[in-house]
Formats: sequence, structure tokens, C-alpha cells
Amino acid sequence: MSIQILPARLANQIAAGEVVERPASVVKELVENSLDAGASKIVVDIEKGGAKRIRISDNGCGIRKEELTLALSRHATSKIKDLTDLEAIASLGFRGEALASISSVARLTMTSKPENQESAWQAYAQGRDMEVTIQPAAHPNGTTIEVNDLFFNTPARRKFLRTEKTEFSHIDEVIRRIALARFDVSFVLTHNGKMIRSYRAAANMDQNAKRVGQVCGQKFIENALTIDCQHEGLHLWGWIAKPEFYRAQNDLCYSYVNGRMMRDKLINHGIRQAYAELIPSDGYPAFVLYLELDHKEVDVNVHPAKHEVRFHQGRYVHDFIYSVCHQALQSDLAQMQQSIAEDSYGTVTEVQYQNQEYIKPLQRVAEPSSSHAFSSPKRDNQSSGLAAAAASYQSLMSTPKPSVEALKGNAQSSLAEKPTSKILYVVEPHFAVIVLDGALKLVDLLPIAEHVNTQLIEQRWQQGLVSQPLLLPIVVGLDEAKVTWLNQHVDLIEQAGMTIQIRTGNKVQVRQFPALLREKDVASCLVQVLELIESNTSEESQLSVFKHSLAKVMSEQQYSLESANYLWHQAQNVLLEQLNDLCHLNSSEIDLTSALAQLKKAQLQ
Amino acid sequence: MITPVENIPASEQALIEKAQSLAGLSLGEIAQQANITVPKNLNRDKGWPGLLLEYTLGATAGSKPEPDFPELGIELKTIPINRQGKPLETTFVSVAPLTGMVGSNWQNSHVKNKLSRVLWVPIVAERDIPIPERIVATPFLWSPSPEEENLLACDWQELTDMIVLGEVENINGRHGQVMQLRPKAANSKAKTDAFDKHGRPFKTLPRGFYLKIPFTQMLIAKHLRIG
Repeated sequence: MSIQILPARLANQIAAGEVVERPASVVKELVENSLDAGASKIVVDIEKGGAKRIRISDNGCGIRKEELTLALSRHATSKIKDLTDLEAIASLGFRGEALASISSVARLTMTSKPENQESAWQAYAQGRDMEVTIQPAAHPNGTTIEVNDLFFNTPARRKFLRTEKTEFSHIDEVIRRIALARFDVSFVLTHNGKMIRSYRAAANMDQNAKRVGQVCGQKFIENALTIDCQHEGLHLWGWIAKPEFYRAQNDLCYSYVNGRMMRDKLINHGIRQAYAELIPSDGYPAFVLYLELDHKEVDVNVHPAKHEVRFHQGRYVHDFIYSVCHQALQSDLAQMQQSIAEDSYGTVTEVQYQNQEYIKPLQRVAEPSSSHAFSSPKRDNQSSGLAAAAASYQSLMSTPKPSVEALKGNAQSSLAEKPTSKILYVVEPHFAVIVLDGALKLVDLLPIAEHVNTQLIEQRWQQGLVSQPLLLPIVVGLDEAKVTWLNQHVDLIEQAGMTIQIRTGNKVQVRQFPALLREKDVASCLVQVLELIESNTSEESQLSVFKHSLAKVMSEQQYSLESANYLWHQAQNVLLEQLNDLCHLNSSEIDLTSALAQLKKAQLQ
Repeated sequence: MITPVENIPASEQALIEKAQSLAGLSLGEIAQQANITVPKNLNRDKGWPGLLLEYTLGATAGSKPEPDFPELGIELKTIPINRQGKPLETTFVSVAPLTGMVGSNWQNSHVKNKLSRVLWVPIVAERDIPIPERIVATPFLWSPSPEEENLLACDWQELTDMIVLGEVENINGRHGQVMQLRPKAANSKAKTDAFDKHGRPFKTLPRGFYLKIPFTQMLIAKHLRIG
């Protein structure tokens, strides 16, 4: 099997499958072409339901001799030039497929004479590659297209054709639909030489209404309400039938968007909703409606036959159609009943809040002193000591340790851009092997961490440490000295982002805790800080003692290579030159003499 | 039961202080203070914890279309969570009107209105904890950030468009990133008016907007220290 380019005729036949379904679709495409050509008079002659002959003559602008050839080839059109045109299509057609498709499944001849061309020319395509032949002809200004023997070369399609009568009724429907779209154009439809429809061009609303009567029946127009409403770029006008005039079929549903006939769900939904319960649920409303809006607000390039469109603001359009139709129906109803009908749907109605019966109102306790209301033992934090409280909340607060995981990402990303870390190895729990001034040294990470944390606290102290409310407040039992200290330094603990309430019996309730300590257990953390302050005997102010203690408690006690690297990176940013001094103070040189000696000895042997 | 006047908070600050003073207390303790009976189970009293807190904190609106604290413009939402701070269920926001939605938009929607300022009251309420022993966690005040509001507005728009265009029967819990539309009814017999996809009126279950669990979980994690 080799891959080949399809012959032109075959390619067009494939395209024809989408566009040319039956004679009526040929009529639709060709009449739309005539309208796009600016015709004011269109004559459609049908023979044998369109299977034998479809001839459409118009008085439009015509096609020049040089362009006749192009007109019959696929993807050739005068209607759009570039993508920008596609964004806002004003013409009915634009795909440039219709003529080529039709001529690939029928014998098509096209005769045309533009006004400024002296004589008419006729073109037809034939053969595998659909070469176009041109010859002189006689024709008034405009174009006539004759389509003979539709589907003569595609027997499969031919089999789908129904009786002459059925096919003609489809054509009739197309003409009726189009006639409603263009009141300013006169249409004549004949079948087997007999005049079936003749719509004269209408120039005013009365004549328009007359044409609607011709197309939809006099009864429709007698029962119709006129609609005309403009709102923020949308214009809806036309006729909708009173609810009494509902139909058993959807045979009088004519909607147009910018002059294009539609069978659009969104539009029909809005209209049907306006009728709500005014018509039975199996009934259909009758309407002829025209929606006009900016071409840019609507996308017609959805379906080859263009029955559906996409609105850029679908719901807005929907609601607009609904509101206009609804108002018209309601005001008609009101007039009829000589009373103002309750507008149950028009404006945004109050949401109905149902009586939520399944939520019972609260009930008072029968006897005010019922302490036995709780059958289960009372939760009692007050009596349990610190250990118990800590343990019970430990279980509440048990979360996988996110610290290292969180650090990992940070550490790795920052290390990638700053490969200056000197940490070679971590000796548990908190010592690291580094290269410092060309020598191998073992450094204690704890003092470094404490300095970093002190710096972090100092930086944030002025505006107060960021505080985090706890999911559940924690009650901690303390000894009296610690409670007293807390009582005396309310301003300090507040500045540190702690919210602590002192309860009776030397208990405190912690509600908020500094975000910097989010990796630590709240209860033990608090106790540690307070113990550190107690044991401090230096002359320092309570403020700096408090900060130092916090920093100490913040510091990790155990390091992996990763967390050590992260700390190192932090230290470089926060401590700057101070880091070097700190390292000197807190490290000892690793003496490799004996190790070297051993290796040398091994070599000698 | 009518909320006593002395319970009604005078300011946002008073409300949040009152609410936070409840943190750590059990429902039993709160009910005892308020002199209210604790139901044996919540099968028939689903909204009881919410009502208890509304009562205690002085909310007055109930399920009326105004905020629970009308003077403060604050909505009260209790939310059952597990011990790790994860919500146990989706959170009801408001009834979704299925008719009369013409011209409605996010800005004038009930959902936006209800969520503009919320006092969240998480309650540790795992199934195995008896009702009186369920503990109120730390309440916090929240207004949607621009990103959060955008997520909510997108979901609201999509769901509302579907309702208006008669797709209400096709909406399931998977629609919406942070908010979903679900039937809301005590039983499946209560039906309300709606429009089908042809625009014809029909009866269907009343629907409500619910916040999905990951969204409320994110809110709790953002505002509270868990663990």
C-alpha cells in the first residue's frame, strides 16, 4: 500500500459527503451564494424533486470570465481573504467548498455575466481532475447554476434519495427558511414547471409580516406577538406565537443569527424556557426570531452546514433571549387577564429556602443541674500532668516529619546555584567535616545553628514573630516559677508570636505559637525555653535571654548531610564573615598523621 | 431557639475572641455552659454542632439568605475534621437556585456573598469520638484571596452555565475544581422546579453548592498549625 494524493474529483466527492446530503442542501448552498452575491431576485427551478435538475438564477454581481475556472475549484472563495476575516464572518458561506463539491457529484454548468462584462460565459468541470471548460453563452446580468443528475456518479448516495415529493418538500422548507431570512429579496420556486412559491420583496414591517404569514401560515401571524428589543450590542426581533398556538411538532421554529438560519440548542433552550409551563411539555412553541450581534461575538465555523454557532458569551445571549421572550409572553398574559399577573420568572426570584426539618432546633436541658448529661467520662486535662498532656497531644499532633522533606527541596535548589558548601561528611549527631583554610576540620554545628537562629529572630523581632494559631489549643502544666515568669513577661511572649492563657492550678493554655518553631512539639518546646531562662545566670536582659533560649530550642540537634548543607547555606547568607570566626572557634583540626603513616607503612611492605 | 441578645457579638474582634475562647473545649462542655441537651447521635440532628455554635456565638440569621452575623457580614461555618486537620466531609455553601437565574453573575451570587467573610470553626469529630467529647479546634476568620476567589468564581460560572442551559441532570461531583454541585435534600421525595435541556420545566432534586475537601483542607493548613 503506497500513500498517494487523491485525485481532485475524489477529494471533492469526499467533501461533498459533508455538504451535499440531498437536493435540498444543494439548493441551500447555491441560494446562499446568490444572496452573498447581492442578488435581489432569485428563481429556483426544480425538476423531479431536484434529482433531475436544480436551476438557480439570480441577478447578483456575477463572476468574471477569468474567475469562472477558479470558482469551480475547491477552497476557492471570494468571501474571506485571511484568518482575520474568519474571526468575523459576515457572509453566509466562506469555506469555498460548495461549488467544487456539488460539481463533483453532479453535472454542473455555471453561466454568469457581471454587469460590466459585455457577454456571458459558461463553465463546466469534467473528468478525473475536474478540468474546467469555458464557452460563450447568452445570459442577463447575474448567474445561473444548473445542477443536473445529482449523484449520477455516486450510486450509494443516490440510494438515499427519497421520493420526489419528499425531496421537494425539503427544498421547499429551505426556501421558506431563507425567505424568512431575507425579506428584501424576492424568491420564486417552481417544481416541474409549476409555480409553487412566490415571495415578493418586502420593504416595511407590514410587508415583512405578510411574508411571515405566507411562509408560516396566516394563523401564526394572527396569533403572534411582535418582539423588538435591543440591549448592549444584542438585538432580538421577530414574532413569537402566543402559548395557545403551540405546535405538536417543531415545524415553526425559525431562528436566525445575523441572517443565518439556525437550529441552535442554546437559542431554542432560551425560547422554550420562556414559555415554561404555558405550553404542555410535549408541545413546541412557534416563533420566527432574528438575533443580531457583532460578528466577532459569534463563531460560525463550527459545522459545515452552519446550523449551529458558538457564542462567545453563550449564557448572556441565552439569558437575553429568554428575558425578551418571557417579558413579551408575560405582558400579553397580563393584558389578557386584565390583571397584573405575578411575575414568577421574570426577575431573579428569591431563592426558596426550605424549612430544614432535619435540623432540629436546639433543646433546653430539662433540669438545669444535669451533670449526668454526659454518660461517658469527662475529658480532663486539668488533672493530668505535663507528661500526660504532652503525650495525649503528641498523638493529636502526630504528623510525618516534614522538616527534612521541606528542606530537601530548598537545599538542593539553592545548592545547585551555590556549590560553595564545604561540608564533606556529617559525624552524628551534630558534627561536620569541613575544609577550612586548607585544613580538614571537625566543626560543631550546634553553635552555628544557634547563631543563625538568633539572627533570624533578631531580624523579625521588631514587627513581631509570625504567629500560627494551633489547630487545637494545648494545655501545659508548669511549675510555679515558670508560670510567674510568663505572667511577668506577657509583652515578650506576645512579641514572640505566642498566645498563652494562664489557667488555675499552674496550667497554661497555648493557642498560638511562633511559625519559626513549627517543626517542634509545642508543649516540650515551651518547657525547654522556660527552663533555659531559669538556668541562665548571666547579667543579660530577660529580652536577650529569651531570644537566645528560643534560638537554642529552634536549633536542630541532629543533622544529616542534607540538613547540614542547608544550615551551612543559611549561615553563609545570614552570618556572612562571622561564619568563618565561628568555625574557627568551634572546630578542631583533624589530625591525619597516624592515618598517613599507616598507609605509608602498608606501601613499604 | 432564639439567640439571646447578650450573645450577639458587637464587633469582629469580639466575635473572634469569643470564638477562640471555645478552642479546646468539647461540645459537651459548650452545651453544658449553654444549658442545652446533647443529642445521642446526629443521624436526626445533623446540623446540631452548627446550631450549638451559632447559638453560643450569637449568630442570628439561621439558614436565611443573609450572613449568620448580619451586622458583621460574617458567615459561620463549622467543619468536621479528623485529628490531622483534614475535613471529613464537603462543606455546604448555599442552595443552588435552578430557576430565575437570568442575569445572575458571580458578583451578585449567593455563593460569593456567603463566602465573602467566614468564621471557620473546625471540630475534631471523627466517628469514633462520642458527640459530647468532640473538641472545637481553633476558629479563624477567612476571606477568599484573589486566587481562591478566582477558583470559586470559575467553578460557579461553569456550574451555573450548565444549570441555566438545562444540563443540571448531567452535573456530578466531578465538575468543579474546588466547588461542586450536589443534590441537597432530606429525602429523595423533595423536588424542585428546573429546566431541562430543551428549556422545558421539570422537577428535580434541589441542589446545593459544596466546597470540596481539598479546598477546605488547604484553608485549614494555611491558617492553622497542624501538629
